[in-house]
Amino acid sequence: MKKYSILMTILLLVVFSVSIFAISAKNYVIVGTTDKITSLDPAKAYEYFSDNILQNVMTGLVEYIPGTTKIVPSLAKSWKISSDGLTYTFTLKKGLKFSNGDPINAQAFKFSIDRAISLKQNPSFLLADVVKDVKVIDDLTFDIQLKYPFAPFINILAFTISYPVDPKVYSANEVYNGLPVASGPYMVKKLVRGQEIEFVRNPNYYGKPAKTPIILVKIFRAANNLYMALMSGEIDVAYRTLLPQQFAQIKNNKNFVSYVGKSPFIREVVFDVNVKPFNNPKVREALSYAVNRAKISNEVFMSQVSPLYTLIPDGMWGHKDVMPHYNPSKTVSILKSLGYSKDNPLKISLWYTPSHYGSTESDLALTIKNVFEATGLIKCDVKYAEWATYIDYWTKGVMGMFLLGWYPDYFDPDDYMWPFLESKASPSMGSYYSNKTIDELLLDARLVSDIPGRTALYDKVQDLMVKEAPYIPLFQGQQQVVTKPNIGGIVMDPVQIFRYYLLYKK
Amino acid sequence: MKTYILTRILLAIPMILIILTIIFFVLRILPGNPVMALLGPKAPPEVVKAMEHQMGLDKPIIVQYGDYLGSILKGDFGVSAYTGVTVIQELMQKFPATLELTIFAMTIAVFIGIFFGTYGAYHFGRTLDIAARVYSIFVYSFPVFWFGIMLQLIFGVWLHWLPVSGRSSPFMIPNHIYTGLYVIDSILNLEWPVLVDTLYHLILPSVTLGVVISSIFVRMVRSNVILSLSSQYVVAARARGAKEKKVIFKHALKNAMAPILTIMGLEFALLLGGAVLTEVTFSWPGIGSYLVTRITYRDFPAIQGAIVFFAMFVAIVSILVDIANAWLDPRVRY
Amino acid sequence: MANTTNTNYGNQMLSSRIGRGFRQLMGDSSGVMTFIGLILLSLFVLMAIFAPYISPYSPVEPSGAPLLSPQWGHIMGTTNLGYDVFSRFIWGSRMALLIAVIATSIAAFIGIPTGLLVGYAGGVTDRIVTMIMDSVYTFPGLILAIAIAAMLGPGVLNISLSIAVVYIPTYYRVIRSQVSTIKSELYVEGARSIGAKNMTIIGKYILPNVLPSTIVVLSMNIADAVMTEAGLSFLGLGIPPPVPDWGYDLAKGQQFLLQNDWWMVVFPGIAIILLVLGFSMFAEGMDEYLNPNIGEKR
Repeated sequence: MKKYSILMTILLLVVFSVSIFAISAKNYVIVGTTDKITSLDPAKAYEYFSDNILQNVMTGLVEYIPGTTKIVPSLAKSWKISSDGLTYTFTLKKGLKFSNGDPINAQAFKFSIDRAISLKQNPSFLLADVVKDVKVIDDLTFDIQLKYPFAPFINILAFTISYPVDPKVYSANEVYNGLPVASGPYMVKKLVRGQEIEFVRNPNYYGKPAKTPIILVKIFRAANNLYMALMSGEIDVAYRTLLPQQFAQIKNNKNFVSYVGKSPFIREVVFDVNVKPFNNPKVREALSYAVNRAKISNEVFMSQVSPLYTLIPDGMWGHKDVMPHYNPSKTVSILKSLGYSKDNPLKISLWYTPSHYGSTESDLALTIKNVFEATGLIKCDVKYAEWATYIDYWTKGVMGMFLLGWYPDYFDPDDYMWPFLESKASPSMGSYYSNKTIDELLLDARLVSDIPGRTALYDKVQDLMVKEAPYIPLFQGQQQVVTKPNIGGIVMDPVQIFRYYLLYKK
Repeated sequence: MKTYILTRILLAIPMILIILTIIFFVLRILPGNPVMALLGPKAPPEVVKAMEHQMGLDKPIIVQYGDYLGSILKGDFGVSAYTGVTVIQELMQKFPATLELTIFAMTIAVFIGIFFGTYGAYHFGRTLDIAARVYSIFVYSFPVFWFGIMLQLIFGVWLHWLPVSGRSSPFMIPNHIYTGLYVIDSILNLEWPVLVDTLYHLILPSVTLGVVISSIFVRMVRSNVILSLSSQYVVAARARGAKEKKVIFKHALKNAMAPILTIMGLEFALLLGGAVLTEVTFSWPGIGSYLVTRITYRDFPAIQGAIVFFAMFVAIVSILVDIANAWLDPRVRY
Repeated sequence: MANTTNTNYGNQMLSSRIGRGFRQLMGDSSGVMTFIGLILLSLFVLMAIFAPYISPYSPVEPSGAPLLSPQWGHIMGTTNLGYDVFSRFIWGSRMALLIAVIATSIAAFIGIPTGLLVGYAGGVTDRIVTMIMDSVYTFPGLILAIAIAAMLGPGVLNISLSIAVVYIPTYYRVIRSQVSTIKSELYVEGARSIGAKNMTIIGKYILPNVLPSTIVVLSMNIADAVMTEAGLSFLGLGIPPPVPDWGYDLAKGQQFLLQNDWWMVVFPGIAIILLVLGFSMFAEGMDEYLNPNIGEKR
């Protein structure tokens, strides 16, 4: 009998505990994700999730208005740019404080920018490449001097690398591993890596307090687990990343609300222009006709991505559809003119990396292989390497054709053109593409500061790019958020900042 | 006894060292630049150089090896290149999850083993015995992850009875972490809902791992009980007219326990291998999923640290088993 | 001696009667096991050999609409990219057997000679090599294989190598322990006293005596290797697609399980189970046949 009574007690406790979860309290929102945190030090953080957390617990001189690409002052009250474009003078708001009570002043900014540069971490180059010096004028005023005029600089100031850190807490020559000292709407109360992060309101935040007192971010290892947690009601919001088929199913489920928006994330096929046979622009052109983007979008991503025909994503100024659309007969005719036939097919390998871009990646590679081979004149192998090896391979020129993705550091066409096409930058992309005219046009576009003038320059660059086809842009990603119906405050942001501080329960 | 324990510990050190050495060189001989993986393609060469210097990767491999051994001896596992957090800090957070899972799985395996094994032995050659053997062979051929997925499907997706991933529900992590074992911490904190939630999450992963490992226990218990059923004191006990149940559980099984303990030690390695796959299947935040994640990024300090931890874990368990055996069985000489 | 323990206790039980009937029907249980094991094995071997003739479609090209449930024409359904699951089920046996056999052979070819030579030589070499082998042996095999496979990268040989490393010590240990007992036996001493060379002694007197015991180990190891390979490809460390591989298919299928597309997970899983079952039943039976006492090997 004893055994039974113990069993009954356990059962009761289980039922009791389940009923606890069922009670929804208004003062918190639970967000589920499959992303992983790396570092929460702004000088080191350089991947989506860590940056996005920082964007909720810290803020910079300037910030984007939610839902737009418009930049407005945040910690700064105002700023002036000198006529030569080399000096930015900032005046701070009065009485700014970090979450621990320490002041946010000009000295803190100088410390933080110097530190971000001297620590030489992952994102350091964003500042190191352009910033010459920071000069403190008084507690509330300081100058940032640039090495050369750089039109998108203000966008870099809105990025996490430029966020101020507390000089009393963060060491000048070491990466900081404690809980971040907040300057934004939230502060991190508890962080259990790989499990959950708890955010509470930052009492010293200068702006409007966060809508919900507590946000809990629950971390899952795989999309399946995220999906099941959503279905069982354990989480209120699922953000990054359900599998395409899971999102497709939820869209038809009346118990959930789903939001979609364009993402600035793009995917492309990269050619190493030094590797045979891809050193022949004709071969690259032929392949670019064979890519069936609609098929990729439909079959691999359940139509949740949009085909992309240039490197600059749709929705950004400068975007121009230039790449050839799907036309396999063109591929056949070009390849035939190059001497390939059914008995002598073009033999190529397509590389992918299995975990870095999620588990759909092998399907993407296989689908591209299949559309290539459908032309009858191409024999395509699929190969893969883990991310670290992958980077090593492309810097060493092992891979002639491979899949890559790009998420911008600052929201400007420059960040979609320069790294890909400029001669000194393209090796880092594994392409080694070089073209003097394009180099000059890209440099011009950095120096000019009016948008119509720059648009004209980028138009020219994109037109030139088509002829040489060093890349085949594939598609632009989609931002997807799923929530329970009682959750509000979801803003689909073009810069893809997900703002926890706007979430609330209705 | 003291010297015996000391010798056992000293004997474990070369094992850890050898495994560490293998991993250290395998990691470095093959392609894959950890710095590039970290910094990404956008990093300029001088930053890459600086980072390489910072991580000591610009030194000859032998020097790196010496440095690493030196710091390991001081208990310093280095800093994870991926997160910037010290590896020891990360491992200390992940390890309890693995420990908790393996303890529960081992307990389940031992119980199944004793139950099926003893009955199989008692009914030697008859249906129950054949059933026990078929069970053990069948279960042995289950891929852990496949079995886990099936349980997730049945108990999580179809029946909605059990949670299928993670260690806890939201807000259900113990408030104060003493040991990192949530079962113990929640008891120490007197947080009963947390305890229930933790146990609730433990069920599927530990059953998955426990059942797959149990196959070996069933066979071992069976053959050992068969042996001791034929031993003289069992015959004597029977001759004295002791009840069958008592003969089996008190005499035969007890006598068979020492070898079972040894097997527990030996099979522990297998259990850990299975734990890696179980952790991945169930999003269990232990060292196994940690290792798999960090391998992708060639996070040298983290991979090495995880491997050393696994090696130490195996060594410690085998030492404990030996000591327990020596203590239980006075015939073992120190 | 085991049979003598089975005196007349519990004969009144129903299970014993059924059991006896079962045994009369099928003969001795170890024989039945070997038999079933052999059938399963030959089934998979035949499947692997005749894959091009049996499989209805190419396993590396889409052959239907994506995600068809099992139906006429696609008896095990299709994958999310429209590959025929049944064809991949059949061709998958090739990859599984190929890698398992290569891995086990590598392990045997390194482990057996090392065991022979080192066991025969004895002394300091013996102690050092044994220590190294024991370290690898006690370490969780799958974890070692994961680490090595991840570093070597994909490819049949690389995967086989990383699995082989794990099993070398198994052979080494079995052989070495036997060699060290056999080498002090009278006929070996005799051969040595009449001036036989070391190599002759090893080849002529010792090797034939230790080889039979490796058959069981071999068969058991292949089962383990199949499992390890499946584990590696499940973790994404296997052969690149579209090469048919059960572990890869299983991992892919897991992503569609929640949409109730169960066939992508269930069938490759069954394939792995049956193949491993075949090898381990065969090994089990052989073990009882070769070592009639019920001491557990492995």
